[in-house]
Amino acid sequence: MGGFFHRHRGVTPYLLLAPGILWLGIFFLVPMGFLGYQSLQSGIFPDFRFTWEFSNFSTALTDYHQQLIRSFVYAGIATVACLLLAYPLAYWIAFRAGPWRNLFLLFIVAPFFVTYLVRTLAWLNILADQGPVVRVLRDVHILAPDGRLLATTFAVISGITYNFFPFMALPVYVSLEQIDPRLLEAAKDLYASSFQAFLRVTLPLSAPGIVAGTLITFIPAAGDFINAALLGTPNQQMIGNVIQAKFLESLDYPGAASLSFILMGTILVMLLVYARIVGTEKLTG
Amino acid sequence: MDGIGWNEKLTDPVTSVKQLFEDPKLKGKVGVWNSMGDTLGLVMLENGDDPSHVTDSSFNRAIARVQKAKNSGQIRSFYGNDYATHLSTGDLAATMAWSGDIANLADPKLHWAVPEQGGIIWTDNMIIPLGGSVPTASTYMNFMYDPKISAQWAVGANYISSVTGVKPGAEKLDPKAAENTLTFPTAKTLSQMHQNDPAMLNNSDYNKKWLAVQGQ
Amino acid sequence: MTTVAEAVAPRAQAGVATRVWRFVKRHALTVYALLAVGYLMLPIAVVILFSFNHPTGRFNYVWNTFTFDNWIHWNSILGIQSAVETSLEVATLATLVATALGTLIALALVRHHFVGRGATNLLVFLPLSTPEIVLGASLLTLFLNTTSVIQLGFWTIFIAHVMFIVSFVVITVKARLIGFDRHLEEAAMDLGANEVTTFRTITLPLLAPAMLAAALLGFALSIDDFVITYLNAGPTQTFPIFVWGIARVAVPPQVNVVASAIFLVAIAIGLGNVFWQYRSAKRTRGVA
Repeated sequence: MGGFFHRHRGVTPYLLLAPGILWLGIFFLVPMGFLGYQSLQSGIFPDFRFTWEFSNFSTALTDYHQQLIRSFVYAGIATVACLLLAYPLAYWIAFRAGPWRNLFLLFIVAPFFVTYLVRTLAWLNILADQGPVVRVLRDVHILAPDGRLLATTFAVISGITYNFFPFMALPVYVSLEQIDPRLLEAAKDLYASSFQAFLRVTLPLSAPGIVAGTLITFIPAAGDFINAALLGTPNQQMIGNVIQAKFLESLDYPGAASLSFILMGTILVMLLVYARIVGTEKLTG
Repeated sequence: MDGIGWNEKLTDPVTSVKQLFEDPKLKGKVGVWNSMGDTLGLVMLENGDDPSHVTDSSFNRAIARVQKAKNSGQIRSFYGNDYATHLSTGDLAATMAWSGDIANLADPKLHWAVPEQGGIIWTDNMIIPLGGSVPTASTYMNFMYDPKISAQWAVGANYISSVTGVKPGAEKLDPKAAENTLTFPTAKTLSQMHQNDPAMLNNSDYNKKWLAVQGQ
Repeated sequence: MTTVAEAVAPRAQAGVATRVWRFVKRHALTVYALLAVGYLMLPIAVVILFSFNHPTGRFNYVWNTFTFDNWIHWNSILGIQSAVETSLEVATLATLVATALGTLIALALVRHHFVGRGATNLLVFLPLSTPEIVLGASLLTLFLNTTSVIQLGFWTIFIAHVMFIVSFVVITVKARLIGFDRHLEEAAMDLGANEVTTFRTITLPLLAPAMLAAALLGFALSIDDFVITYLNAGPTQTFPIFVWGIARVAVPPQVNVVASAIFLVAIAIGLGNVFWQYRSAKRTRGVA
């Protein structure tokens, strides 16, 4: 059987890809095609007509660029926060945890086993205006006497950071885990301090993980709506909230569809720029 | 029923939308709904307008008032059912609230009252979709609207029943729930209730303006 | 020229300072790791705490009194048990399939240069960048147009979950494959193993930790998903859908009980794994 792959080397990638791409093709691309069709419709629910309505896109940009920019800012801050918080934890799990490593990986994803609503209710309890955390912060004057943690930008970004933490931690762990510790020993033998060894050996070798982590954190975070819905006010609404409202409240399907494509398009452009900056090998190998 | 809920530990009774929007002691601790009919309905009543016959000018007056309260920071945010969470934990001192939620919270420090200028009453409805089985659905509806069955329903969900003659059955099931004026309102309370204008709810222009107030 | 005494004293002082510094350095990371896990677990601690609450009304928002009742009668809320079972079944199945499909795609993308490689990379990123409501609504449109083939229910949920988990698996496994040391595989093949044997005995075991991490992520995504699932579930209920549905009229403590139980079972499995790792480490040490 190995001989088959040897002789038909060119066909191997397509065989590997086939099942997954077929799945995405049918259950993602086809619906997206219909979404594209919808984005060029006009009219009011339920009478939509296909009219090559490209103005949907320009209207969407003019009306909602504020939420769009805000989404990227929030997602960006949350991604950086996730990276700073998750990297040391992933490092510890990869190098120091030993037999405890899988348990701690479980700890990272455990919050997801408790549904989003339940764990956010817990946070609402912890960070409530009348709760212990806010009271302490007011006493030490970090917060104003009528200050609050919830219903603020801080709350929304913190919510995104908390809920996307595993998306950063796991890929970073994956690339740290494969680093041969002997490389670090060799660096130390060559008189590097542990910090230098980290900077010149570990960090570059974990770059693919960092890139992967930033991608699967930032991209879905930009389209997130639930954190802004439960933890924010109208001043924190993200593009996901707008799209959600268009789909479910105003039933403006063409508007929602065009806004979705604008979001996807902007993310893709950012992706290309990012790939250029970090070098495509870290992105694609 | 749409009205005002408040936490007695955090504020004196709040009895009008005017107080909700203008009392400086409540700043940043006031909630309103994200649902247009409910919030604007109460505001229109406060403005002296009729929520069951909405005109462009009455709509604009109402939405301007909400916008002002939001811009000044008086309104903390626009909520769905989750205003109940924040009222319970004390994030909100007073909020537009549904009578059934306050009944279900059963928290002695939380109260509900009809606003001075009147409240809004609405109904959940059962509909038979096109292609649905009319005989089956009708049998079900008949069953649910039987006063004895409706009594279970009212006591279980703590929402007002639309069926007359439910109270005796409820008293047998749960006398305490039957006494609850939130679930079995007095005639006086019901007389202060108004209804929304369906034309307003279906107006896409109004909807867009309402979403814009919420940052959407 | 320094006297002997002067030379000795500063060195002894430096010894204490450096020793303290070295101690801090060695353990600072562990302390941080524990603090980080503490931060992650904080809301879960509150969830577990409130599972013992006996609330005044129908909502479990504020602490009232302690009770074991909720744990004894955990499935007294109609529908909660079947919702949890559905969630776990879908998550397990979807994770297995998505991990397999995603790993295959990652292997193809990293190790082969083929026509359509760029497009495939792009295709993998697209579901990530699509808001959940859009993914869910457009997939629903597809299912509504194919009701002759498939009805909304367990299998539509399964299909939807695999669809959005695959991208996460691909990107996570790719992080491992980029920089994968091919020399081990080449050595195996030099020793006479063919592609399949090499894959089975060298590549797969080395890839296993990454696949496990990806699977964990996928499982978490599936069990927690609400929007896409809600739109494509039809009459079936998963646990998040159940919680959302009931949260309008009540948040019974049993919801906390079930959530805590799932968490505690997972941690128990994790602890079992720790124990097993210790045992196998002892065994290999014994052999060596």
